[in-house]
Amino acid sequence: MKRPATEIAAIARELLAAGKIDLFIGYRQTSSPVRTTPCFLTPHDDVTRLVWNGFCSNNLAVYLTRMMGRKRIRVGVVAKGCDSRSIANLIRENQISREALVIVGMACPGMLDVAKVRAKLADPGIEKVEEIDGQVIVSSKGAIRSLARTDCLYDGCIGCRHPTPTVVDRLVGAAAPDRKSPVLDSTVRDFLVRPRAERWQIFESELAKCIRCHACRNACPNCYCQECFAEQTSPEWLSASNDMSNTLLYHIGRILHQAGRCVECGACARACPANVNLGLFTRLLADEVRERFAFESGISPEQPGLLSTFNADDRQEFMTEPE
Amino acid sequence: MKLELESGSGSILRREDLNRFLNLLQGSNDLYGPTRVQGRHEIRRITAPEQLDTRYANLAMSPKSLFLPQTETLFTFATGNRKTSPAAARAGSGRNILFGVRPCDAMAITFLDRIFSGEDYRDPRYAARRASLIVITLACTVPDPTCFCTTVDCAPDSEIGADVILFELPAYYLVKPVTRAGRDVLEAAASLLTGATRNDWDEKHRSAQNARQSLRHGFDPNRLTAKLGDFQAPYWEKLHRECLGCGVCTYLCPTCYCFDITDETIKSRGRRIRTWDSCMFPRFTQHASGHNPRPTQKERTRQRILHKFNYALKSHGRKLCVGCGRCIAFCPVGIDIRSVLKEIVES
Amino acid sequence: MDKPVFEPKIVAFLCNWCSYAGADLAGVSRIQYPPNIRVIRVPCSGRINPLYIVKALQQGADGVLVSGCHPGDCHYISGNLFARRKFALLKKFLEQLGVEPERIRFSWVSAAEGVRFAQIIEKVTNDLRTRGPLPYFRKDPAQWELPL
Repeated sequence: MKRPATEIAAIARELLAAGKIDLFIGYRQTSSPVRTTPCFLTPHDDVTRLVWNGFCSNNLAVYLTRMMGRKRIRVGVVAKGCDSRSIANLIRENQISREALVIVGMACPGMLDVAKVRAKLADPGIEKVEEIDGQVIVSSKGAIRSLARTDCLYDGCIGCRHPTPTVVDRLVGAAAPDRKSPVLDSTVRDFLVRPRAERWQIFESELAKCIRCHACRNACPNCYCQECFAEQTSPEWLSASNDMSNTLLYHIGRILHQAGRCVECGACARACPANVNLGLFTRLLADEVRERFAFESGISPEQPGLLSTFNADDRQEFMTEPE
Repeated sequence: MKLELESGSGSILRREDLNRFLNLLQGSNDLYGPTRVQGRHEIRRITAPEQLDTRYANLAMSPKSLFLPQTETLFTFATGNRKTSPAAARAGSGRNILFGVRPCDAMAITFLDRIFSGEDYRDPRYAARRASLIVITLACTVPDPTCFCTTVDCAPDSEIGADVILFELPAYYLVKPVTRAGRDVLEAAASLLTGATRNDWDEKHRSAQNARQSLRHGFDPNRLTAKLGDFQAPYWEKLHRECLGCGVCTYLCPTCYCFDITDETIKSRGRRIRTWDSCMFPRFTQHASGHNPRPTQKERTRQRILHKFNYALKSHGRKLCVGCGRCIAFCPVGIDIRSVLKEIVES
Repeated sequence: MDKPVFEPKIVAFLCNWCSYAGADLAGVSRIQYPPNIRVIRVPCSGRINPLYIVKALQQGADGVLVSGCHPGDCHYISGNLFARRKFALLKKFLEQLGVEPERIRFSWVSAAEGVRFAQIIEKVTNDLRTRGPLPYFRKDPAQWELPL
């Protein structure tokens, strides 16, 4: 059986050589064995740089609106389950063209959280990583440790309902079934059972770490607005200062703008340099969307948008009535 | 006993005495030091000895926010009273101790000094904060894979920016005053210090040499300057593609200092604030007319690299980089500035 | 001497065709209701950006009320039906984060329902009087002098 990376490279080579695409976006390794970086290939570039491993966590859909927006170029892109749902959502929102895309879908086994891997080692230095048969074999300072893959996944990947791409042209790897049962992240469950004052405390103390760099927004494929509400001066929603009031408004606003659109890929949480537990708060809203409207973003490019439709019998138990 | 604190001789501090040492230096002032916060190391005000944790290659966030806060009030105002009240330049409570800064970050502080407390301009609040902090550098023994200080004229044992420097040896610290202020403050801890010998210094040199040798250059710094002269070079077309323009690199960089000045108001009151800004943001160069001289990520990425490795060399005689590697470690898409510069050098 | 009762500041977004008219009817009919609401007239409840509600809380409101036409009666046919989805999610999200749900209220009030409008205001205000000011999230000038 061909290694996935080899298969991706072959597809990229074929598409570029045949002139079916102008640009291929995949992953390549950096100097670190636990980091990959997006790889942009045009015809004549070396496709053998492409890799596929448990550190290919970046959501590449974020580049599509920028690459395909004005220039009418055709793009081939590697997409995991979550990435393909981002792509489906972007197509639905008319931001990119389905016809100009070739989606190379990856049946994703979940991505590895480097922090979790390091926490299991005596020394955080990692020289080499191999992934074989559900084990992650890590060489660190001469010692070799074998870790269970499932113990090292990102929180968001543990609860993933759609590991197989929902919109795809070429599928690499065997399709895994969708997980219909609510594999609800335990951190969300634990958060919701706490008393109300404590929940706000947690929210504030997490966001106290925020330095307002907006990496969460820039890493999110759904945040493609030319002018973000955070930067509007007329009206001015927030000031540039990082005092709690503004920071809270920024995050509440950004998450609300994701209502019915967020695919829970985790890009925002991974991008954050200050270790803010964004995934917890984004998942709250995504769970409510699922629970109240039986709706999930990104399943199909043809599905209607959540907030651009309504049902005559949408639940309204929250409305206020006089006594 | 009168301590021989002539520069060069140095003193020995037993490892187990570190907490007491810092407490003696701190006296009735504040101590800011490294502590473990959710798996990462940050500088915090230390109030209990068990908080102190020095098991890190470098701190996650640079200490620049102690001198250049993310948000700073310049003055406040209110309608109706026609007055602005400048925010007080806090003198702080005497001399506070900042411990645990690595040599790269300490050198970066001297770069910030040139901008905010230099010949052309002196920011009174910055100067007051600077004057109230004694910088105790903790030299490096085991760099991170992302460190590259020696490529940009810094070193794991550089003393630049330190008032006092501690070299970590297996059984003890080698303590050396670097400035007069450092020498003065060490008097308070004289009871814990014994004289260092030639052997101790030899060991320190060996350790520093080991650390140096484990650092990867990544690119040839000597060939970089010449290559960066070409503003229209073709490699600029490709080098920016991965970049999200998120600003993490600039916010975490200990030498980045660009800022924005805006007003924040609520009802009849307001304040003028200086906040961190980033050349990677589109708004950084947005004109009121709507024109933006750096309209795409290509122009912005080019500007960042040229500023740090070309323009700063011409204006200040130094590259605006100390090789701390935070931009590499925290870039959400894994961009490695060393690889970028290598590509430029080899183009 | 009695302790002064806390009087909440309530921002009320009322849709022009139904709820605002209903409030107007309450006034013309001389129906008494608490004066705590600050009314902002909008063409339709669907016009309301959820961030208006969040911003109102940040700027000093202790509670926010949004009121529109009954489903099926919207002057713009379906604006209120889109609004219903947005508000459901906004209210639930803030509630999960720890904001008291009684601070963010939604209602349907038609142009003929002056009495109903007054009753809703009475209910919301009395409830907020017991809760006190919004204890967090507010923009606070007292925090502007940052410590060293």
